[in-house]
Amino acid sequence: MRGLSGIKRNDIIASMFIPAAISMIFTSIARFLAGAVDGIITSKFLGAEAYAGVSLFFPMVNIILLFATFIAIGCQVLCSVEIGAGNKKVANSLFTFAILTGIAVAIVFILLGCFAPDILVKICGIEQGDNPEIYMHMIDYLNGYLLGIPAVILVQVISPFIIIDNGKKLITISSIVLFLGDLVGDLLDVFVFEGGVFGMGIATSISLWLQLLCLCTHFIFGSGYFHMSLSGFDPKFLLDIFKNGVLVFLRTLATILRDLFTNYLNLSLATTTAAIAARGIQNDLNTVMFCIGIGISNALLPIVALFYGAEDRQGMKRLFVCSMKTSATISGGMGLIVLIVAPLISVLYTSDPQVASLATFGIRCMAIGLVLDCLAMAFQSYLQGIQRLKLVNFLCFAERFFVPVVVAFVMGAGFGSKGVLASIAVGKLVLVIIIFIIICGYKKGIPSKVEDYMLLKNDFGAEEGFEQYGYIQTIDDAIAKSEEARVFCLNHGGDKRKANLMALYVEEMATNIVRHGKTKSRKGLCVDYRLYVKENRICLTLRDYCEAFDPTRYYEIHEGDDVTRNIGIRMVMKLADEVNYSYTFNSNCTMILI
Amino acid sequence: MLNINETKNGASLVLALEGRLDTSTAPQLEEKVNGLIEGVADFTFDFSKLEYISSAGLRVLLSTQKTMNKQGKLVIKNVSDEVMEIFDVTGFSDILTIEK
Repeated sequence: MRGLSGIKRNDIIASMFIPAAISMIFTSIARFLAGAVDGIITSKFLGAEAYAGVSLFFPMVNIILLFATFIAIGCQVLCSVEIGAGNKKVANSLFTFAILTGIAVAIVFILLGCFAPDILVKICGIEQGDNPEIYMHMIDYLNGYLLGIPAVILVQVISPFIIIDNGKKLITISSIVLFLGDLVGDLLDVFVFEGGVFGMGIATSISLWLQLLCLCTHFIFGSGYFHMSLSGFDPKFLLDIFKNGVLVFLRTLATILRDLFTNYLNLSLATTTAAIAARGIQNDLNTVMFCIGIGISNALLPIVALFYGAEDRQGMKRLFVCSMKTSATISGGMGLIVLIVAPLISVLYTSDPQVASLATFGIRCMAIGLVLDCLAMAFQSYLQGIQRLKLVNFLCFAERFFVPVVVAFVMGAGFGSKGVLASIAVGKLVLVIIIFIIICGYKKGIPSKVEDYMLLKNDFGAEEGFEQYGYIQTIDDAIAKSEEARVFCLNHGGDKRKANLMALYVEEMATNIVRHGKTKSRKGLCVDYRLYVKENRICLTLRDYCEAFDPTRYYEIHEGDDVTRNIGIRMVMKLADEVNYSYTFNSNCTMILI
Repeated sequence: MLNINETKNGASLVLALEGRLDTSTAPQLEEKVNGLIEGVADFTFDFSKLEYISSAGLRVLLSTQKTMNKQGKLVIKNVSDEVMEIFDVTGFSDILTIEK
């Protein structure tokens, strides 16, 4: 992409999104592997009944994670919106509320685990009288896992905020710590301490605490955006937190219902054990590939919310295009690889030729549907970021439940086992068609431009003519934009003084970034420039992808210096009505209002 | 854009600036000043038509003031309200000699 001065530049939004997406995909895979470790080692070394006890307890683990994710996502989305709008105090209050609520939920589960473990085990479907040995294994695992409950909840709660606060690498490292910690702990339990299932629970707990400690280094050593403070919190947020978080419940509920119904369909339509086994192999691989969609969605959601809070239509469009292209590229590449190696994957699972053949077919169907799956997930994440919550809830249920179930039923009835296996791809196609029809309904016609797919409300962002966009890469660009800003202010109700001041802010801040901004490579340094009218005020935002530099903090430190030093920043800080700064998603964003 | 009109009379120099004194035009002014300042004892900037000044312009004024402190005096005349505000906020109104 070429800027004003013809210099190739890195799109700032792509620089915010793509590294985050890749990091989150890797993190999802690491978390999946960490979860698989317990099952594999328990099954291999402690026996089938021990494995049954541990695996039957997993729904309770998922319920605990469900509550934690509800709080995390609900607060994270709102927090991103507030950061985009420049409300740091409110963003911090949401961060604090999320942590305090997470601690409260952890206390509730610990108390239940200590004083009423039967309730937790019963929720998983087992009573003591049914199978005493499995029941004891579940209680043993629960007793070991109790120690880790605060850690697992707090990890879920703080991870989304660390992503916002430029900590994506730490998230990945912490997931690796979790995986390695769990693996080492489990092996020590089996070969050294012989702690049985209780020891497996302890090993998981310790690895969870190690993961949490790893994440906490972000708040200890980094000069991050977030700190604990409830001032700025408004009880009105609770409804929005609930609305955003409830999607997590719906997703889980839909997934549970889908699994129940498709199990029923498998049993009634897939007449052979081979077909059921093949379906299981397909599901396993789908769970791993699902990490791609999860990673992309987790990275996309807070960035969308950020630009939504800033009411930045252009930024939103660039993000939308970038995210869809990235989703298609990554999932398409993975899908192609899986398509090719499908026979090898089947052979890893089984030597039965009938199962292998059906499994290969099933895996290839899954691979074909992967691109549509990732696009649909990314689109839902985007919709949640722009607060189209009713639509997201509907699509979530469609994606997780009624489309896969209905399509599996129809194709199973028509084509038997292979129909059920192929339904995974056909279901994704049906879902994408449903999304397209919905967009046609909103547009009241066939969508032809990117903006038609974005479903932003007409009053979102500045009115046409009340917004100016651009990129600054050189001093000349900065001067040109400075003059444009002066004219913009004169044309939108600003007097000569305000127009001159806005021109000054653009020149001083942008030339500072161009001269002193440090990127990993000097090639492609670029500043996103946006000038718009917001509630009768004129607002300037400058966003760059350089190392963190907080001009407000810099001014505070150097305010007493010789007047002949730092003249530019001094002028801006003293003259501007309001200056907001944030460093999130590895980008500096300075907002100046007059 | 910056237009510079010079009037030199013996050891007296008047530079009238018109337009913007910013990062791109400050080097032009600095070059002009450096070319004329030798032997000047009475240096005046006329800002009656100057619309805008940024930190780059202030630095040129500062370096000119430092030179004139050794060889004479520097006065800045006809400063608009907008430019005067910049001088006040930056503390340059204490460094420069300004006549409104």
